[in-house]
This record gives sequence, C-alpha cells and structure tokens, in this order.
Amino acid sequence: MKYLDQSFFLILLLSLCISNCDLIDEPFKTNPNPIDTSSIIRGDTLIQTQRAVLIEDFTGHRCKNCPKASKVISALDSLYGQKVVPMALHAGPSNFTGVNSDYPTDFTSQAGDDIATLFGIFALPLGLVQRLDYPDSHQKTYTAWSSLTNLELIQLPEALFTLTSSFDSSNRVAVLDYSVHLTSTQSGALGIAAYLKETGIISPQLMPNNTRNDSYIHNNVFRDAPLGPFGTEVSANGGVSGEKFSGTIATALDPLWNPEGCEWVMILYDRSNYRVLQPAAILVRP
Amino acid sequence: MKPIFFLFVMVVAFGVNAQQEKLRAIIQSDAQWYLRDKVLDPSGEYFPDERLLGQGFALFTYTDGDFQAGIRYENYQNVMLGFPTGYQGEGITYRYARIRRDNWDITVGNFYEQFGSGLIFRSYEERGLGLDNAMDGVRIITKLGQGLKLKGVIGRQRKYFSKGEGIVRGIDLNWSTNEALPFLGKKGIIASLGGSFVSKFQRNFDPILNLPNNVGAFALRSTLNFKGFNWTNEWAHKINDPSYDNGYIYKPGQAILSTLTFSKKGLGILASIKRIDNMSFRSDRNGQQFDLFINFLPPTSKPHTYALAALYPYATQINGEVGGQFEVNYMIPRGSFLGGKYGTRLSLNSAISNSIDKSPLDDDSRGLKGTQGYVSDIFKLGPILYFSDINGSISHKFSKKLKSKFTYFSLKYNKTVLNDGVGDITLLENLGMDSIININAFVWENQFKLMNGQTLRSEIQWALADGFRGDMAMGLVEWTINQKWTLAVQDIYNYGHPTTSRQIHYPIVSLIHFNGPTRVQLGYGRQQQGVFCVGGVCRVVPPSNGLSVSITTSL
Repeated sequence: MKYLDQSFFLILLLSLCISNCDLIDEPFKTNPNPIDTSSIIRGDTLIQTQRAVLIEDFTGHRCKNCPKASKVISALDSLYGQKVVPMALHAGPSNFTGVNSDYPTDFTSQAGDDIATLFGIFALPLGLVQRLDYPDSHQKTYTAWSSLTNLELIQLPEALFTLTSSFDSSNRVAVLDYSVHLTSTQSGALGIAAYLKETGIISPQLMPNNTRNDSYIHNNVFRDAPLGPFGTEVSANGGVSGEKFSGTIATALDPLWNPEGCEWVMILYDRSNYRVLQPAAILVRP
Repeated sequence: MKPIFFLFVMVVAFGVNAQQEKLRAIIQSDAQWYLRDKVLDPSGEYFPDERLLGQGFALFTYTDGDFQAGIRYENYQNVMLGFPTGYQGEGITYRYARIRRDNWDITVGNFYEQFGSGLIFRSYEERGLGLDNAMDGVRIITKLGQGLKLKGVIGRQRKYFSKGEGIVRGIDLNWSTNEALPFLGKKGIIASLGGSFVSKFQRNFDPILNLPNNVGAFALRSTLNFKGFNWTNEWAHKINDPSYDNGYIYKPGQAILSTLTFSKKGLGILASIKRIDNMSFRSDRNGQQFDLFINFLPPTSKPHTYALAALYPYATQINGEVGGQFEVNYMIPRGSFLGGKYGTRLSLNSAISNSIDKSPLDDDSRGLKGTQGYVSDIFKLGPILYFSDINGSISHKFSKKLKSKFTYFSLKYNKTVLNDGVGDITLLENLGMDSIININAFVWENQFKLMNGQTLRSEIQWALADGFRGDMAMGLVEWTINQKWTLAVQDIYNYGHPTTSRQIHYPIVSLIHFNGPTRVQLGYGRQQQGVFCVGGVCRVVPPSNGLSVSITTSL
C-alpha cells in the first residue's frame, strides 16, 4: 500500500465534498422576518431612528415590464415599511413614457427627465438604489433591488432626518420643515434635495401580457423637485457626526394633484458621487 | 504595529539572505501626478483630490531546498484612478509557507491555484486590473501513482485588505493516462482526463429568500494530443446559486469549452467554441465587479495590443454567452515568390460572441428573482450580438534592416453591453435598444534597424467607427537608442467624435530606461476614457492627464 496516506487524503476530500450542495425547492421563505419600526411619527412630525433606502424606479405607462418592477417595490414596502423610500419616475425613452389616446395621462416632468438624463436611463424598467455606484454601475435591474436594499439596511445610519409637514388647503401650499443631523463624519460636499411624489393615481398601464389595465393604480409617482432635480449644497466640506442642517421648503401643489396622496421625499447625499446618505418621506397632509 | 512587524520580518529575512543567498525580491512602484485637464474632463469629475496617487508592492521569496516561504507587502496611497477603490492603505496581503517532499506538496497561507481551464476554480492575480482573489487557507497536492494527481484546497479569498466571508473548498483529480497506459505513448498519443468539485459556504441572512448556504460545482475535462493536434474539452455544472450577478434566480449554471489546435512547421490553426449559461461563481453571492470570483471564464477572442483596436475589448458575459474563435497562422516559405528572402507571415483570426437563448418561463416571466429565471435551448442563439471580430495581418521582412506589418480589423462592438454594462435580461425586454458600433481599423507597423544597435519602430493606425468614439487616427514612433534607453511618442486624434468638444488629441510621451533587472518608465500625456480588459475581465479606465512613473526591479 504505497499510496495509503494519499488514499486516506482522497477519502477525506471526497467526504468534504459530499453534501456540500443545498438544492432549494422553495425559494421564498414562508415567514419573513418581522418588520422593525424605523421611524416614529408624532402627529405631523417624522423622527427617524434608523437607516432608510431610496429606490428610484424609472418606469413608463407604456412599458409592459414596468409593473414587475412596481411589484418588487410593493414587496419591499410591505416588508420594510418606512425604511424604504420609493419613487417612480416616469422618465427615459419616450416610447414608454409618452402620451397617446390609450395612455392619456402625462406622468413626465422636467425634473424627472433631468434626473434620468444624468443617470443615463436608456431603457425601462431600470432603477437606482441609494444612487450607489455612480457613474459605472449605478443602473440596477429590479431583480437586484431587494438584495441591495437589504445590504444597505444592515449598515448603520449616516444621517437622520426630522421632518414636520403642514398644508395650507385654501392656497394648496405644502410646507416642510426639515432638519437632518449627521451620525457619521463625512468629508465630501453634501447636498439636500426635496421631491414630491403622489400615490393612488388610477390611469391605464400596459401589462406584461401586453394588455391594457385601465384601472391600474400608479403609486409613488414623481411629481416635482422644489429645490431643483439635485437640490442644493448644504456643506462644501462634509461635516462631523452630530452636525445639523435645517431649513423650510414651501411649494404650491398643481391643481391636478391630490394632496391626500402626496408625500415629501427628502434626501441628503454626497455631491461627489450622488450617493444618498439618508432619505426620508412624510405625507404632505399628515 | 503593521509597519513595525514588516520591518522586523525584513531585517530577519535579509539576515537570512546574507547567510544563504536564497532570498529573492521583486519590487514595483507606480505613481501618477494628475493635472487638471478641462478639455478632457470639463466638470473635474475624475480629477482626484490627492493630485498624486501611487501604489506599489514588494514580494519577497525565500527558498531553501524543498521549502519555500514568501510575503508580499502592498501600499496604496491612494490607489490610482481606474483601479478598485477598495485598495486603500497598506499591509501584508500575501504570505505563505510551502514544502514539497516525497509525494506531497503542502502550502499554508496564501496561494494561487487553478483546476482545468478554470471554469469552476481559478485563484489568480492580474495586477493590471487590480484583481486578486488569492486563497488564504491550505492547499495539498499529492501523487497517487499511475499518473494520478490529487489537489485539495480550502480557504477564503482575498478581498482588497480583508477576506470574503465565504469558505471555498475544492478537490481536483487529474489522470495523465500515459503512465498507466504506455501503449498510447507508443502510438504518439498523449492524453489526460480530469475532474473537479468546488463548493462554497456562505450563510444566508436574506429576509425573503431561502438562499443555499452551500453551492457546489463540478467539472469534467479531457486533453488529447496526437500528431500536431491538441484537443481540450471541459464541461462544468453548478447547482442553484442565486446571486447579484444573475438577479437571484435559481437556475443551475452550465459551461462548455472546446479547443482544437493544430501546428506544424509554418502552420498553426486554432478553433475554439464556448457556451456559458449562468456561470458567475463567487464566494460572496452579493459580490460585484470582479470581487471574489471563484471561477474564470476564458474569452474566445483575440486580445488586441494595437491601441485603437484595443479600445474595443471584449468582456466575457458571465450570465450567458455563446462564442467561438478560429485562427490560422501561416508562414509562406523563404525563397518562394511570395515569401521572399525571409518569408512572409499571414494571420487570419475571427471571433464571435452572442447571447444565449433565454426564453420566458411558463408564467411569461423572465429573470425574475426567486424563479428559475428562464428556459434556454442549448442549440438556439439569443437575439443579441455582443461582439464580432475579423482581423488579418501580413508581415514581411524586406531586408535585415526593415520589417513591415499590415493589419486590418473589422469589429462589431455592442457598446450597450460591453461598455455600458447592461445585462441581457434588460435588453431582452427592450429589444433593439442596444447600440452596435461597426469599426474598421487599419494598422501599418514598420521596424527599422539603424546604426549602433538602434531601432526605430513606427505605427500608423486609423479606425473608422459609425458611432460611440467615432473616427480616430494615431501615429507612434518608438526609438530604441540603445539597450538602456527607449523613447516613444504617440498621438491619437479623435477627429470624428460625435461630440465636437471631444474631438481632441491624446498625446503621450514615454521614456524607458533599463538597467539590468531594473526598468524605469516615465510618461506624460492624456489617457482617454475606456475599458481595459485582461482575459475577458475588464475595468473602467477614467480619463486623465498627467505625469506617470513606474519602477520595477528584482533583487
């Protein structure tokens, strides 16, 4: 038995290999982990306590695969609640977002187009998760959103928002008092952007089976950016943990928007690479 | 503490060197001083805050008979533009001890290894890319007699200055049949068979999905060599491996690679085919770019070295591709009418790569997370052309002092996939949205021998493209003054860029000095934005302008 030792080694290796394959029959867990409460809403005020993730879903009402991406957002929304801040931007190729007699609602906006142009949205559906990996691989397909969201959420928060919303119904003016404090030190320039989105709009949508759903409910539709598509710089040199930035924004709502369905979305981001440090959302009319 | 520890190791090591002269070292240092170039980078998006970026390494290897040990120190202050930004800081990233005695070859610490052509396991370093997935663990190689060779590996992979969380375990058995079957050798046949199995372990924390903690892959291979022919085949299979790369689908992966070559005096032929389906295999299912790849999927296209053709490199599509390559090299004999006094070399190479069939599942979904993803017919092509390349060259030596070579390239380059990184699932849902660029490029290269051992090499290149970068012309002159000094000047003029402000020159001047094992290169000029690939693995190169220095030496 010249090669007895080697034979034992072979058996050891083979035994290591055996049962090292987990074949999965049922990919989805039946009882996903319970939802954590990430924020406390006191009346008209949101006080964040945990990290949140911004998901920008570039979509179109004539894009047949876009409802699949919306489903992913719905699933994440039900799983993570306010830890996920979604926005559906109807922007990108006009053959998917344009208006015609079958799809008469114009969901597009100049600010949405500007954001899509910067991020090079050439096809739908595509998305951004926390605007990560710009400029090389920031466009994420909807199949990757869940895992990226999960990866982001397990990290400590870098900043936390406190938002107070009020609404003047006679003049249809929405007012937001915001305050954000850093929970980590940042070295790059920081920017704040404010967006308005609307949920619960019933309008036709092309479905994956090529049919038109006349009573499709469009949620999280990006409406406007009162501070401009990329907001404003709040610090040229970042800031230390504990540093606070605050301000007030007021904007009049378009007559066609339903204030009950409108929400503010605020983001604090790194101006050098657009990476979102923290997003937050609160109803225009809490 | 790390620098102090490192100094201690060096002092000890040099002490050993003084006694036994068995210490070897390779040292390399690269740096670039970046200059703000408002034409190349109008917004300053790529201009680094540091202005000067530098990186380097020193590899020390000590050998004493059948024992070997080594360490590699790396330093990134900070990493140069275009390299993965995870390389930041300094430290000892590679250290190992190895002993080869009797039938055993044992390595502990870091090591590089490959099973077969790498379809399920290849641990390697490609410094030009910033890729290093070195294993940190144990490797044991042993001979079982009768031509049987067994390898076992276990460990975790390098990820910049840390390690991936996944554990990689592998076994490879190779049988060189000629030792057991000597009659094959008598008939001029050399053959070998091999098989390997690799698995990774990574715990699942996903809140929604049941992800496999253990993912296994296996491969079978053969090599046959007979009268100038060499035929290698490898087939690999991987079980469900939902990952960021494949959109967390549960479809098993498959790969097949077959290469046939023939060579005899003056003639070489290569034919290769490959099909990959969902074969991204990393020790971290959430890994991106080229982090923590366990396997390597070789490209079936010829890497080009001429600058303009190299601007359109091919990157292997790990989620699925089918491709092939055919190449003939022929030397027209010396003394014939076409061969002339020194002979004439002809080369023809063609390669193509296409998407695989990815038909929707029964519920009309495709690529959806938590599903089998798609159905693929192995004999059916997908609708997306990734890349095609037909190139030919003729090279002739006119006299002892003049050599000339003419090369033509006809490329089809799917910019959306290869440059913008858009996946096939996205494109399949948006057919026709991709942008395929047609490129015709010509290169005329001459080499003159001058007096006193000097040589002058020139290149004239011209690339015509119907989009993306547009038309370009290039000239290069390289003057080898003597064995120690070489001076090179080149300029690429992108006169046909679709954006007028990008119709600019990219001049580069280089001075290279050789002194024994030491090579010093100084360069100054503009680097244009692009993609740099080695072996089908690519990284993005940002535009830059500045002065670069590179020093390499071995002791």
